[in-house]
Amino acid sequence: MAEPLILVPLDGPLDARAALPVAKALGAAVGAGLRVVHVSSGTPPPLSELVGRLGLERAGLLGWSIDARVGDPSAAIVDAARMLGVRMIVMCTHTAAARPAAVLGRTALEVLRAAPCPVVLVPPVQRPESWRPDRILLAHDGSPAADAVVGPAAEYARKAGAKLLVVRVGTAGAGAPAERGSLSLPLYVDQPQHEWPHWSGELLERLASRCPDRRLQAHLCVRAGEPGPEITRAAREWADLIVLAWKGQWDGDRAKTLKTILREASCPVMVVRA
Amino acid sequence: MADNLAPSIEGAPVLDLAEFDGAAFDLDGVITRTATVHAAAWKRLFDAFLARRAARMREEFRPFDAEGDYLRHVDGKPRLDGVRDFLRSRAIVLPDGEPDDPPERETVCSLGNGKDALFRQLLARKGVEVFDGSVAFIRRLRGAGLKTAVVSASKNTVPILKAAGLADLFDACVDGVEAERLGLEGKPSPDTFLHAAKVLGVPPKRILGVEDSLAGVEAIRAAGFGLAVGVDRTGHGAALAAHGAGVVVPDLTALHLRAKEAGDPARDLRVREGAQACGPSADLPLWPSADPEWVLVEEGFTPTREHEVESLFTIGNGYIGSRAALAEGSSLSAPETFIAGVFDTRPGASPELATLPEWEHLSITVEGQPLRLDLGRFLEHRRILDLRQAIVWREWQHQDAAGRLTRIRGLRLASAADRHLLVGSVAFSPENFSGLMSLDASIGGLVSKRTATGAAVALAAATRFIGFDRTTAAEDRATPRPLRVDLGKVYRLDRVVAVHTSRDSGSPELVAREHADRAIESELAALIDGHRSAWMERWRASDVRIGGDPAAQRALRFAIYHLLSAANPEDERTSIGARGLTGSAYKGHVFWDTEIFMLPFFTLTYPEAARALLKYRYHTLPAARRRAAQFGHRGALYAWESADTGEDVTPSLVSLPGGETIRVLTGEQEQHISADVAYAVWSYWHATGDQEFLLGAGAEILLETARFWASRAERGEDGRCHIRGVIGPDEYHETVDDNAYTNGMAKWNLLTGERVARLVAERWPERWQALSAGIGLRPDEPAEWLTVARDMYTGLDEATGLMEQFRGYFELEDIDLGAFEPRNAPVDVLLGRERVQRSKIIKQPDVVMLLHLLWDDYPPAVREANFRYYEPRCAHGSSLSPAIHALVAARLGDPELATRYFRQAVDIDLADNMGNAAGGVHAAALGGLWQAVVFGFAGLRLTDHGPEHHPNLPPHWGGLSMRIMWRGRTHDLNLPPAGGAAGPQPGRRSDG
Repeated sequence: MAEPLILVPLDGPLDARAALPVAKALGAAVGAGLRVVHVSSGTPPPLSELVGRLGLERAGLLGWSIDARVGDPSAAIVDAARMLGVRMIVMCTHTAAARPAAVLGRTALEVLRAAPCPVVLVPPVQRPESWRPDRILLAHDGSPAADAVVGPAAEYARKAGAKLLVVRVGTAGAGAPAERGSLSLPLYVDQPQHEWPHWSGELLERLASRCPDRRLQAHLCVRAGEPGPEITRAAREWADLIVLAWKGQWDGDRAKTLKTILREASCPVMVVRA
Repeated sequence: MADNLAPSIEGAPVLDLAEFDGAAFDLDGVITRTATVHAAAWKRLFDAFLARRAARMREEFRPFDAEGDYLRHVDGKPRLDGVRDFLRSRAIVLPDGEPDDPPERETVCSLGNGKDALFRQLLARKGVEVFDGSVAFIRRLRGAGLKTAVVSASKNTVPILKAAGLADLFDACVDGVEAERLGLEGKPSPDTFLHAAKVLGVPPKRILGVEDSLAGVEAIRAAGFGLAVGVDRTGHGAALAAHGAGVVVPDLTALHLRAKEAGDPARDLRVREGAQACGPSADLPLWPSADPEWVLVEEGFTPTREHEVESLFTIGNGYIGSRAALAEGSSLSAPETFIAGVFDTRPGASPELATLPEWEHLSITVEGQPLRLDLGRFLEHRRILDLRQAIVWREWQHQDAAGRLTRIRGLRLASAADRHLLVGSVAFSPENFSGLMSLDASIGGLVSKRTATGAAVALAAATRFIGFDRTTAAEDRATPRPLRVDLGKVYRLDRVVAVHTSRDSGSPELVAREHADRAIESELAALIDGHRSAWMERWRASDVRIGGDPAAQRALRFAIYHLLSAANPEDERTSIGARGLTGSAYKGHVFWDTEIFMLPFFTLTYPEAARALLKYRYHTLPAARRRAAQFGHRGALYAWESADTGEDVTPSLVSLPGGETIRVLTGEQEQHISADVAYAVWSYWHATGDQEFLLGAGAEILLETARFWASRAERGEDGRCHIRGVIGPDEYHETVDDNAYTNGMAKWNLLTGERVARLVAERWPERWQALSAGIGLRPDEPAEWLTVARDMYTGLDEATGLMEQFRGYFELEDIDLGAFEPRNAPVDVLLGRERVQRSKIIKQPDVVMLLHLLWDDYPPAVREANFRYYEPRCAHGSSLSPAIHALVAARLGDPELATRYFRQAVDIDLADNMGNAAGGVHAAALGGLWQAVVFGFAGLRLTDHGPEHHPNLPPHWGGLSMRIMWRGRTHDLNLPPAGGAAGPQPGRRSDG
């Protein structure tokens, strides 16, 4: 079996300082090595120079390798991820000084769209070397599609010894998920002393069924408000990492929750394709 | 009805396969739904032609009628005949022209070519729709050895069959191409059918023909076939019969098949066991009901819906309930079987229904490969809850990784004829292989268990193999040892499981073992027959027929099915929990749900069951007396939640999903349940006149509950009587004073207590002596109850007609609930519990509930004013809420609002994207649904003079009919559609 790898696309020292501690901690949690990839439009710099420019030697990494590629950045990153069969991609939401209007930089968005694996998007602020995913927030809307996040989240939580919190958000002005087999928040709470324990058990059991060993250690929290801001608030109060599912649609009004979280959250966000 | 048909037990025609060796089918409308495509193509063609012609001739343009013209002139005929016949109907004559005439030439041939081109275009765009029931029917005929042919005028028959994947279903194909090649005349001429008989090599009289067109049935009759079956999907059944159809069915699944090998009078239901009895005789002896208004179908497999499907498709007989878990399991299967009244406890927790060992488990492996939905792939998978027969069916075609195809049909039932018996059967057939198959059931003998409450439960299983070689199946039990199976043959495993507990006998293991051994001696068909007969009897008494709204009809039957599945008139020491025996949620605890929401159904259609349920309250009266005394009161205070003993088992704390843990106050404060029980007792007595019940149990409940309220009410400084510190049906507001519902029902209870005291004293003085002495009733107590009732605070404002739900309610914050719609969470989650408590938002009808129960006690203006005031303030945070709103809205003459609430009530269990029913069906909401129809839409009122009705049917309903029991006699209600020519018909009384 091939060595598990996490792909870390880096452009320069700024995004390296943000993404590397995250990649390092996640890699340590799951025993994955890091493959740094740098893509340039012209002749790539010598690797030794690149290592210095990105600060890799100072990052205290173990088990890493580097690859310099030429071409379109997003295509090269996705191609590398596919060729190497990486477990995930860890990269910054953007590398420019100012956050783009589209929330994600062009490269990050293209990678997110085409990645064959979960993508951890990291806000480009310098992160302490000690960052660890000790508290993982799993955002779930009750639809079977959202269950895609459970496997990766549970795996990282278990391997990192992290706590896992499943967050459901109830919203006025929004109906239950239309997808067949969804578990909406209970609109009929005939007797709270029975309904809530049963509903919580049902949700956690559904999620556990998506874990390889059908076991899930998680707590559950129901909040009220708009999903994006509420998940962001919950993450500010508690989490080091947000994990959520994305159905692959981005343009226009789509992915409102994800866009809000990426815009507002200060912690990394793992996006798993539903 | 033709000679080779006979009525089945249900009245559906039975086709005797011994009479036939072949079958010929029309294609369009019988096997495939291309008729609409044909009609559309004809319409486009003729409309264009007619418009051109009208413009040219300066005539009025009269378009082609895709229904009338299609059926009368072109349906089922060769294309050119169709062109000619339609043109003739418009007095248009065109030359025939040449076969390859282009569109611009106005000839019969050019129009025919144009239609064909249009049809192919539409077909390519829309695809081929297949009638699954017809395909299943044809497969069954072929399985029984009949040869099959398709006979169609369509020249596109072969492409259509190929596109639908049905090409291998026929031994002969006589289509438009073949007819033209051979010069055969089209339908209604018999030529094409006679040619099919020739190709099949079967004499015409040994063939049955199936057609949906008038010309087609004429052709079949003219060909001298043994039987013409007319398929009426468009309401032209009478015309089909007039043109020669021996039988007309809405779908081929409505025909019961009588196996060829059978020999006794009920052989349509019987299949004899035999060591070599492979082939059709090993198949299940029955098929699901075909009428969509009688079945719930779950197609495919959505893992996250499994818990809901298990709940919805639960089989039960009041003694036992078994969720419909997949026999082989899945990642989210939760097989659970419960017995009414058998509870278990865990340390520190309230009692919960005990879960029985998994009796239904069955693993099947083919050449070592397990048959599971999550391994390999299923080509077809459906589960059917057959409401009429109370059987849950499974139809599954599985392809394993090696491409082996196995077809599986299964059924499961909880016998209504023998309540201790569970029956399961699975028939399987290797469709493209021969090989080794093994069957592994989890229980093969006797399994027993003792619950923490000391109850012993025993399950004894017995199995029978059919179709296997005797030598390999000699052990007569489910075995993982591989058995040889051969391509095309059908094999079957029958299982019976007898369940007995220490509640039933002193040695449940012994009784269960003997019971199972005895039951397995009966043929499967006989076991099913007894069960079905019992259910048919129940449906005759309980069915409500709604015209013109199949969804409402099915939802109502679903409700009735689960209510009937939950009741056991033979056991008066159990009641029905909030989720019946369909799930572990609510732990099997009994609430007011039973008496207020479910009992009216039983009282009026199954009074024996109602009586048993009320006797549970009689047997738990000692616990209710203790509870009243515990709170310092006299009389009887029933537990808010009770299990087997009647003691209160309401959990004391709950952790809310926001992380907060709160005290549960309903156990102490929701005391209206005592009046609710009394109300149900009186309603039962009123409807049945069951004197033995009244004198033996009912009166004592009515007296003891009245006594409780007399001691519970406090006389205030205002001289009025008050009930303080309670929770009403609206549980958002706790510890309130003078809750309108509680006070209103307490007042009613006091008055009725006095009334029953007078009644018994006057009519049965000896019984009165014993009764009053037995409960230590002072002679002046009933008069005191009248005084308390007279002075009870009601909260009614005479000026506005409004009743204040509780003291101070009108001062609370008014919040517009409409501003939060739609919403995907309960209001107390969105706004927070405290905010809701400070507001006028209510969880469920409270004042409106009182109006519903005591309708005649309030003038129309009060009913209207209160409903219009409280309805917009109700957040429907309880599943009990929508149906009661539907009921009251209907009674107030607002069918539109009532219909909206009715649909909301239906969705509580039947919506497929909510997950509401995962822990079991909402039994009380189902009872409420029945009440909404009967008391709301049908407007049934039970007066001292007998049943009356004041219908308020939704405008789209095509009438309603039902039967109720009233004082030992049946009353038939037949209501015409709203605004129908006939006015409300009086109920017809008949000797029941």
